[in-house]
Order: sequence, then structure tokens, then C-alpha cells
Amino acid sequence: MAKIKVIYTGYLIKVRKKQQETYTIEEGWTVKDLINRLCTKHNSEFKYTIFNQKTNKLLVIVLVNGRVAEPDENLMDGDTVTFVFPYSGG
Amino acid sequence: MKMFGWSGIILDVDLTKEKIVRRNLNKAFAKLFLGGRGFNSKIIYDEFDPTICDPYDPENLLCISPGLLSGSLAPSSSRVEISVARSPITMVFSDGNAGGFFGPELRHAGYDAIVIRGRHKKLSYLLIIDDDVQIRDATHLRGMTTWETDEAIKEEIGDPEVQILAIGPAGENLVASAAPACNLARVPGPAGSGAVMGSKNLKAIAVRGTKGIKVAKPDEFEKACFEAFDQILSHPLYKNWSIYGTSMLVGTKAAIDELPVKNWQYTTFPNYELTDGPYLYEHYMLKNKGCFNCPVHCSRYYIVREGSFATYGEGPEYEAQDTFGARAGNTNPESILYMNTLVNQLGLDVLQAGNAICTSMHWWQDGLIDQNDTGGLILEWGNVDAMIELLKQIAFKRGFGALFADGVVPAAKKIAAKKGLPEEKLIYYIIQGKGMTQVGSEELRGHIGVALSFATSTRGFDHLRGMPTIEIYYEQWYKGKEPEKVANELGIPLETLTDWFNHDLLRKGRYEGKEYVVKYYQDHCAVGDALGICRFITSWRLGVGPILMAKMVSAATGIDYTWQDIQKVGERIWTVEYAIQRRYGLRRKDDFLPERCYKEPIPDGMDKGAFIDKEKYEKLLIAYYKLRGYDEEGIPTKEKLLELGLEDIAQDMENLHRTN
Repeated sequence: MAKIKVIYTGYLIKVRKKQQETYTIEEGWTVKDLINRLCTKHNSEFKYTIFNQKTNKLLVIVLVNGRVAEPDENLMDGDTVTFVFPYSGG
Repeated sequence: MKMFGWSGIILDVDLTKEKIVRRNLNKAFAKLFLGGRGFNSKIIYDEFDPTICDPYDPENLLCISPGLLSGSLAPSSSRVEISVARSPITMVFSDGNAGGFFGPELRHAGYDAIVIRGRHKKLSYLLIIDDDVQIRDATHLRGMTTWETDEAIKEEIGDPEVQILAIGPAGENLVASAAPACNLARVPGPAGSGAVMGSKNLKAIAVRGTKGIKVAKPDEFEKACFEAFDQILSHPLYKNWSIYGTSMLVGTKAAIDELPVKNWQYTTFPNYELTDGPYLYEHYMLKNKGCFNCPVHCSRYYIVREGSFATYGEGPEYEAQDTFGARAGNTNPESILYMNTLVNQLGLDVLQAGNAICTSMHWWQDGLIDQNDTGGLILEWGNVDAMIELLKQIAFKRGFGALFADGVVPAAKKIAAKKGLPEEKLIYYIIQGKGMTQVGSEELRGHIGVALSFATSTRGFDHLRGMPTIEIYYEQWYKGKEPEKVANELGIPLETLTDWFNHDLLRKGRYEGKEYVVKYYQDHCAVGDALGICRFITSWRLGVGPILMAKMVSAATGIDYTWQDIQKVGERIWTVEYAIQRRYGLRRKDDFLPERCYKEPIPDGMDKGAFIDKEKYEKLLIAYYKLRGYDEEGIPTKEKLLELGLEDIAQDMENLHRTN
């Protein structure tokens, strides 16, 4: 088993009512596994904040320890996964 | 001549002579510059004597122009541009842009622009109710905050719908960082226009309009506007933007290590989430608020119900959260909201005043100033009581704050002189260009195009002039995506975007070719300001790009514009502004970055080690000038000016080439 931290930004904080949480995952889980698990575990609003409802494409950037993650990348104990919208300006 | 789209009148107000003239708008001029920032910049070029150097000279020009589409059916058409021929912040041309309802009301009263010159003999305000224009006594408003002024004028007029642009004590006291406020909290930023209004004894402008706007082809215009609405409402970021606006940028910037922590010393900031939009929304927000005809309604009303920071107001925008938060090492959310209200009421620009604080804290950290210099203020990071006191001191020119009366760079010089230190030593700490401290909080060292756009900004040093937003998330988001999809999302014409992708121009760390991306955004943003639509709906963010702009402008005016014509208008405005600044004496040396960008690599976070290579930057700058048709000092060439239909400027620039 591995413990990972998940950090949310923007509307995902509203959906989860928290800015970060810790999950225990099975060894060998990939980024894609985690996303699928989160979408199953949480309500549909979570899923459709992360995925485009029509195209089913990701609407967020997924970072692992600050670097852009590949979907089949393995997650390790102590990793931090961040969901961030490509939001800039000010 | 019958005009559609435009109102057809420029209001010319001479406060010294108490003379008000209604000038007919020249259609050829209107066609070339469209409105808003385009009108202001060309009027300033044509009508201001560049040998006048004092921003508080009565003959300094203050131009206020809503855009061509302001007040119309076009989405987010709330904006008004406020420009000064001489800014007390930069000492050259500068401007600011604000939303709310003031700009649309001015269009509904029948005006495309107001030109204000002279100085009234006593404090006054301008009242515009359709064709009735009066200069009224405002001596009873002296010393009032922007909010008190707004309320007093509405009561005096007996009309709660009158829209007011007002200065507070900072403007009356001629503090360079003073800014007027429209609708209490929509502030046309960093140019020091509040102080220029104060120097003219102009406390406020109140406007009420009932005329509406006539467009040439109503059905086509409606169709084009609805297409733009669809673009906005279907954008993947709409949901976030419509709830949090810019306030959620704290969290997104923290995620990619781009917060300018403690005056840009670090990029990571523990407990940043306490200052992030979602936290503020959860604890202090009452509801969202929209500007005129805006489907995004990104602003918010907040209230802090009790405690020493009890307050209420509108916003905050990311800049306030950042300037009073990460930049100052402060994670107290209630204090940030309190200071946001305070600067709006005092009539201060949040960034120019806020940067005075975080720069001072940095000087304090390094032992360059102490309590003997600050009159007892302890300027340690995160000391919110000292921050609040310093804001008040700046607005009222008291104590240590009085040193910032002319801006942060002049303050550094005064402190250096007093302490017997070299000026350069204190100035080094200030993240600024052309005397304007950084507007926007982008990490310039990690993004070469963004850095170029800041340094070449025609109003100072800021992100709103044409920052290539696509570059910031290129590696994480746009890279490898189909060009059609990205073009649709950002409203960038496909051929333009394909060219950037094919030549890999957006790659992180790349210098060569970034000028093409920057020029597109700068020209595009100039047109957005000319149309009076919000930056957030343009290619900058939600994707109403030049193609949709061309449709709306063509239907509104009855004159056919292609998207290339629209971009050309932006290029024309940009070139006029470069000509203004070159006539004042700005040259290539003024389009560089703060020294810290070259000398201090990013110390932490995912871009650790990144810095700007000065030699490569200078090559890029010269390539940028070449692409724009300027010489190596940034002076527009005769060929470019003739191509843009600016024959009248060509001779002036030829003279500069000869004497350069």
C-alpha cells in the first residue's frame, strides 16, 4: 500500500469541500487508476469537473510532484498529485 | 455624417477656461482606431505638447474613452480606458482600463471619448446627463473617500443610477499611485490617473445616459454577439472563471510554483491556500457580481463580519491577494480583504501602493532600512498592522509613506540619498520597468515571451498589455494538442497558431521567434481595449479572438473588417504608442527587464535555476523591433508608418531617426 497526497485547485476545492486529502492506494497504481478511482468514489460533479462531458477529455493538468504526469505513470508512496486548471492572467 | 456603432461625439472639456465643446468624431479616424485606447492614444499623440514634462502641468491631457462596443449587446462590453499624456508613475504616456458600468453609461449618454485639459480654479466635478454637461462645485466633497464621494453625488443628483468615476484622498494629495474608482471598486490601475485628476481639481465625473447605441446591421450584430456568448459559455474554463474570477490564481500559481513570494525571492509559499479564491469564497463571499452585460460575472462581494479586519467590498482580484499576501509574506485572509477595501476607498492603485510595501519589507529584511527610517514601523514580512499603516501614510503623504509620493523608484532614490547609499543598490530590489512596478505577478524568468511582453509594454510594465497567456501552460497543457482544438479554445486564427506550433515557437526557454507570439497578443489586446471588451473574454483567456471581433465590429459599424484588419488596428494603436514614447525620449534601454531577472535564478520550485540571459534577450528585443517595423532603438520606420496609414507621424519619426 502507498499513501499519496492529492491537492485540488479552483472548483475542485468546492466540489470536494477541501483543498487536499490523503489516499491510500495499492502498489502499482498509475495516475489513470487514481483518476478513475476518484471519479467512481466521488459524485458526478467531480467527474465532470475533471472531464469534458461530451468529449471525455481531461480538463485539468495532472501534476505528480510538480511535473506533468503521464496517464500510465506509476504512483509511489509519498507522491503529491495536483489537479490544476490551465488558468493564467490576473 | 450618419455613423453606426460610434456615438459620433468627443467631449472636449477645458477646466481652466470652463469651456465645454462637443467635437464631431471624424469617421476616417474612427475607422482606423475604433475607440477606447485607440482614440486616447492618437488624441494624445496629436494634441499634447511633448515638451511638457510635468504630469501635474494643467496642460497634461486626461482622455477617457469607452470602446466601440462598450454598452452594446457585445459580451463583457463594460470597459473604459483612462489615459494620461504624462503619468506621474512613468513620467511618460500611460493608461489604465476599468470595467463596471461607467464606460457603457458614457456611451449611452452619447460620447465616444472625453478629453480633459486645464485645471479648474477650485475642486469640481463633471456632471454629464446626456447632452447636458456641467462643471459643478465639489469643495464639499474634499477629503472624501471614493465611496463617500459616490454616495454624496448620487444623493445630490437624486439618481442612484448615475455612474461615477471618483478619486479619493490619495488623488487629491497628488500621490503618484493614486487611481480613481468606477462603481467603488473597478479601478483603472497603475498610470497615476487619480493624481492627474487631483492636479486638475477634478474630484469626479458623474454620468447618466439614456440614448443607447445604434448599430448598422442589428440582426447580424445580434448573431455575432450570440456567437461570442456561445464561445464564452462553452469554454472549458468558464465554470471556474465565473465563480472565482482571478481569485483562484493563487492556488493555480502555487501548483506550478509561480507565486512571487516575499517580493519575488521565492516561488513556494506555505499556507498559500488561506489566501486562495476558494477559501475566501467559502468563508467571506456573499455572491458573485458582473460588470455590464457580462456572462462571466467573475467579481464577488465579500464581508468580514467581525474582528479587527471587519470590512466589506468587491473582489478581491488576484493582484490584491498576491500583493498583500505572497509578495508581502502574509497569509491572513481577513487582512487582505481589509486592505483591498482600504485602497479602493483611499483611491490607491493596489499594485503601485502594494509594491511600495513589499519592496520596503525587502529593504528591511536586508538591513537597508530600519525603524529610524520608517518612523517606528516594523516592516517585517507579514506584519499586517504595519502594512495598513503604510497604506494610509502613502495616501496622506505622512511619515515614511510620504517618501512614496512620486512612486517606488523615486522613494528608493530619496532613501539612498538619506542613507548615503548608491541609488542602484535600492532600485535593484524593485521589480519594475519604465518606473512602473510590476502589474501582474507572472514569473518572468521562466517564460521568455511573457518577459518580452512586459518589458515592451507601452504603458509601463504589465501583463495586460499583451502577455502571451498560451506560453505559461504550453508545456503542461497545449503542447501536443491538435492546433484546431487550441485555436478554437483561445480564439487564435488557425493559420497563426499552426505557424507557432510548426516552428515550435512556444517552447519553454526558447528565445528565437517569441516576438511573433508576443506581437499577436499585444496587437490583439490593443484591439480589445479599443472595443471596450474585457480582456478575460479575448484570446487572452476565453477565446473571443479577432475573427469574432471582426464580425461584431463589421455588423456594428457597417464597415467590413477581416480578422487581419482587426489585428492591423491593434498594430496601429501599438505603433502610435511607441511613437509617443519615442518622442518623449524612450529607447531600447527602456525596454529591458529588472536586473534581478538576469542576476537571480529562480531559487526553488519546478523552474529552479531559470533566469533571463541578457544577451539573448537583447537579440530577441531587436528581432521584435524588426518584426514590428521599428529601428534598433524602437523608433517606428517611415515604411511601417505609411503602411499603417500614419503619414502624419512619419515625419516626426524621421526627425528622431536623424537625431538619434
